[in-house]
Amino acid sequence: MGEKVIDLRKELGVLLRAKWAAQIAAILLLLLLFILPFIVPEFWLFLLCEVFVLALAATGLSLLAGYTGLVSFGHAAYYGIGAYACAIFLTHSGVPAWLGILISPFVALLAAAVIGFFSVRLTEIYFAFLTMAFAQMFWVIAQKWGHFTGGYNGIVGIVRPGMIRSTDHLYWFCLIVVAVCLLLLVVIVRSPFGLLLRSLRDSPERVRFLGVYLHRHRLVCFMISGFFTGVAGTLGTLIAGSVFPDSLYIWKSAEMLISILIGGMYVFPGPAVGAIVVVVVNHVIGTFTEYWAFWFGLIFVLIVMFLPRGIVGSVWQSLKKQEGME
Amino acid sequence: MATTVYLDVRELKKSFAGLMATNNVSMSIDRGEFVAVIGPNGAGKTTLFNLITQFIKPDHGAVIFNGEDLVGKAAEEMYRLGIGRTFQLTQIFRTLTVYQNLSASVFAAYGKVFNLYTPASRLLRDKVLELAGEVGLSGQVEKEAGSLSYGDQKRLEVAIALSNKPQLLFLDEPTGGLAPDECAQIMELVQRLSQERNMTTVFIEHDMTTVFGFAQRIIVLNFGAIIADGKPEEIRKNEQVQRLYLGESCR
Repeated sequence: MGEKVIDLRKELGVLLRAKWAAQIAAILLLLLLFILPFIVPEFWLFLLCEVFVLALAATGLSLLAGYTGLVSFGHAAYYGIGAYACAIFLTHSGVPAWLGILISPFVALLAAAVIGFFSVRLTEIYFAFLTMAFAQMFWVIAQKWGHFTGGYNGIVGIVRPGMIRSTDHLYWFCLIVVAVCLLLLVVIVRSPFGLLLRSLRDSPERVRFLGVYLHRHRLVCFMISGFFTGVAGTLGTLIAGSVFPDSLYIWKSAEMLISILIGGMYVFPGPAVGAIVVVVVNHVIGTFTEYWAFWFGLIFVLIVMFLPRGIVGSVWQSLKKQEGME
Repeated sequence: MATTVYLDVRELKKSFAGLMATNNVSMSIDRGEFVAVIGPNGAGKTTLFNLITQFIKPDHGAVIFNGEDLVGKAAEEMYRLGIGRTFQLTQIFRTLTVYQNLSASVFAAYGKVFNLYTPASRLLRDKVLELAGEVGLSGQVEKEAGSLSYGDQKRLEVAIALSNKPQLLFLDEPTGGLAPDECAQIMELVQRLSQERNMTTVFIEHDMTTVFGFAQRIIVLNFGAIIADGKPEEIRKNEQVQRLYLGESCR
């Protein structure tokens, strides 16, 4: 019995230390990111904004795909709807700009509620394909509904509100919004609701006999996930100043999923780290060769083969092992 | 609290593609009884549990619990009504720690499943640890559930099923695949908890030593129908049961 208590204390100690280290690292990173506009050229700020957006979109998706085990192949829908809503509010309508920006993610939430209502009844490949089909549907709508969405040409020349018109301000705005959203997602993941999500991934039957309605729980998760991906889409429009049907296309969904797989599915910072890799590889390789997709695919395959838990997941695993051997 | 919990199963029928899995089963169980359900493989024991707990819908019949018909209710409602169950294939949350397994079930018991902001690791801590202590898992709370020994996994599932202090508990092979000494430990645990809480317990079991060592009453199923129902001594003497089990062991 004595040994067990010591064991337990040691294990708790490892966890506590890891938690402290993670928190301090997160705060330092945030500070560093905050002062970057004084140090690096504008190009890098845009690149980082792109990372922030993909990081948020992928983390939002990972709540559903990782923690709940429902791999959506159609999260481009919520990204794109958030993006289009923002674009339309800022160009076509008389809605005050900030109000439009604020409402846009909720439009994505609404879409997630409707699509989720039908999708959460399915799991695995059926779920993946149904969500993908819905996203493709919106992609087609965006192309065909010309006078509202601009059709194939999208919506361009979107003017940001004055407060975030300069690149520095835009960067800070994205940084703060994404940081707050990620913080909210951490809180959700660690809450009883989040724990039940992981529980129902492991054993839906068990959870049903804990009186938890599976579909309802999954739907709420789907909506939260769609909302945060919608926030990312809204930011995407603000950064680019334009939106195209691409933002609803399957490649957008794939980008998020690839970020999750590269970074690690079951560790919170995983998708964000994956997003860094995806954006950097996209841009860096893109400048050297036109066959960037080939190199991208190769990197992806190598990571999946040799780091099946993703970059962060594998590091986390080996740290845990080392601590255990001490 | 004076009401007698009374489970009354009436003419329950279920067929799968023409095969009668449950054929006109009627039985009643009194509050506090400790009942074993036995029968050869494919006799319909698990199906009977699934029908009573509304995991699958019966074709015909009624299941009256505490004066309420369960048929037509959602499986999710069983928990609220005070009915717990475990599964033949142990259903625990394998990738989570024992502590997380237990806290998920404690949150369910306290209606906290839609709490989106309190850190789960701090909420209702004493209740979670109390539950761990009750089934003897206090020393292993930080272990991943999937890495536990098979016996401890069974313990964990019993603890999860007990989280809201059910009045009626169904255990589907609580000792399946366990070594004899582990078997006895689990059954002693369940027996003690049933007595302490005056909980009605129905369990499916294959091992005859366990069945005759613990059950107050035994129900024997074959081809989806009850062929005997009585005290252990009566069942032991029952010719039909003898033939069924001897016949099996001779083959």
